[in-house]
Amino acid sequence: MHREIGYLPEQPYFYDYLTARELLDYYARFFDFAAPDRRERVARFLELVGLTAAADVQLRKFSKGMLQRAGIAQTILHDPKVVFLDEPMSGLDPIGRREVRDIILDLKNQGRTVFFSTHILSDAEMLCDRVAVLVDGKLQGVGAPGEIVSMDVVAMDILFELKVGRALPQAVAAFTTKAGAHYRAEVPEANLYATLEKLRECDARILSVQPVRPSLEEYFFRMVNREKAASHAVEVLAR
Amino acid sequence: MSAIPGVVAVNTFREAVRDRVLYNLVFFALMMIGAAILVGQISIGIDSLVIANLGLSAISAFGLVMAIFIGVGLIYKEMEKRTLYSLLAKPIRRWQFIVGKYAGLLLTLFVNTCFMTIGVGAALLYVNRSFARSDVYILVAVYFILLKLAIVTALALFFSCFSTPMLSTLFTIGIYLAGMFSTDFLNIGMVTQNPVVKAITRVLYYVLPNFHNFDVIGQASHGFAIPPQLILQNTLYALLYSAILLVAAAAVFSGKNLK
Repeated sequence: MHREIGYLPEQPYFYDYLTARELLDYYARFFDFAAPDRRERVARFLELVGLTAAADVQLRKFSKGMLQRAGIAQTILHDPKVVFLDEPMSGLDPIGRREVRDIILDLKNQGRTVFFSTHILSDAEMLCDRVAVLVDGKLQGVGAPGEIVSMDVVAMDILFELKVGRALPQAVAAFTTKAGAHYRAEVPEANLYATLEKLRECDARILSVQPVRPSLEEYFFRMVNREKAASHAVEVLAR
Repeated sequence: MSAIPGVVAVNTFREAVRDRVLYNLVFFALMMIGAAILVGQISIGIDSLVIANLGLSAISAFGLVMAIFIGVGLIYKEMEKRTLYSLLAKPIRRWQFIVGKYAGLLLTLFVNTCFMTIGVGAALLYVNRSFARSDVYILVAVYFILLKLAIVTALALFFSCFSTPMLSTLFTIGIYLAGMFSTDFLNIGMVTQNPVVKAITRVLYYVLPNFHNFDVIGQASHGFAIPPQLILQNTLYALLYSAILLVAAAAVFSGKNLK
């Protein structure tokens, strides 16, 4: 079974006295690869995760992002069918996160099953075919992101700017927040055209109009609040 | 047995080398050079006896320190540094990991001991200008030290499967010291009239490792012959005792919840 799975623990620690090449070679020796195949694989996976230049540097000199990439390389070194990644993007800078995301998408495109846990829900929304939401270790929902989060539009988001000296119409002000040099109004879908009319009257320049849909993050917080309310109710009953 | 324990063993050896464990050889070399020069000035006719005695005692002491202090961290460090999690996701069984770590430390001790033995040989050659036939017993004494280290390493590894390095060190040193005097337990049992004490001392004598039989440094230094039966007996004893400890360590480690 171990030959079919790859596992990356959260915040992986490796033997820091080894170089990246030695680490991958060490792990590759647990599989039945012939020596030339092993060497070729190690070089190929180092390249895949962008560590070829640092292949002969000891891991104690690696940054967190580089360690994570070495970790991913050891996870997929033996071409597992199923890959488990525990918080693969935690602690990474935006470039590192993007690289890890690309690797996960690559694995997905190769037909491998990737399980990963994350607290960064936008990553899950972007990468996953199916998600499971856990709150306090309990499964709250499972399915495609579009299934567990309603795709209904809940509001319309209007981004606009005002000319100097023009005041915000009073009817719109209640829904509007200032975002830098611009204004952002979130209004019910039914009020969209009326709001746009008010903005036109005060010569506002409309920059964008976008539908607002509930995100996985909102779903998650709704579940957390529901869980909290339930536990509170149990507490009250117990009293 | 598959090659997997060998892979772990080589990595364990590499760790010891990269962590500069073998630097102790420098101290040993300096000590032997100093002793060889000094002994020629202060002792008349017993130069080689002093060199052999000092050298073998140092080999034993250096080896024990390494076996205990590295041995107690072998498993604990892998759990503490969480390097174990990635490793156990590979096709390796826990017992293979235990055997590999043990073999790796033994390999380190063996290499270290070989270098130190060469050092003793060089010092003997320096004071005597040639080797005597009886110097071969020095090699037997070194072999016994290695056998003793094999048991001590297995003890340290066994304890490191379920306790902290500090406690494992205390347990291992405690059992080593008790094992040095295990024959005395039997003697106490013989002189006492109390059947309970007699039974306890007898059990202790058989359960504790008998390290006394491995100490032939005095004999070897004097050039006295070491009986072949003792070589065979000590070899079998060390193999059996270490194997039992390794099986116990593997059983404890296999049942361990690593969460």
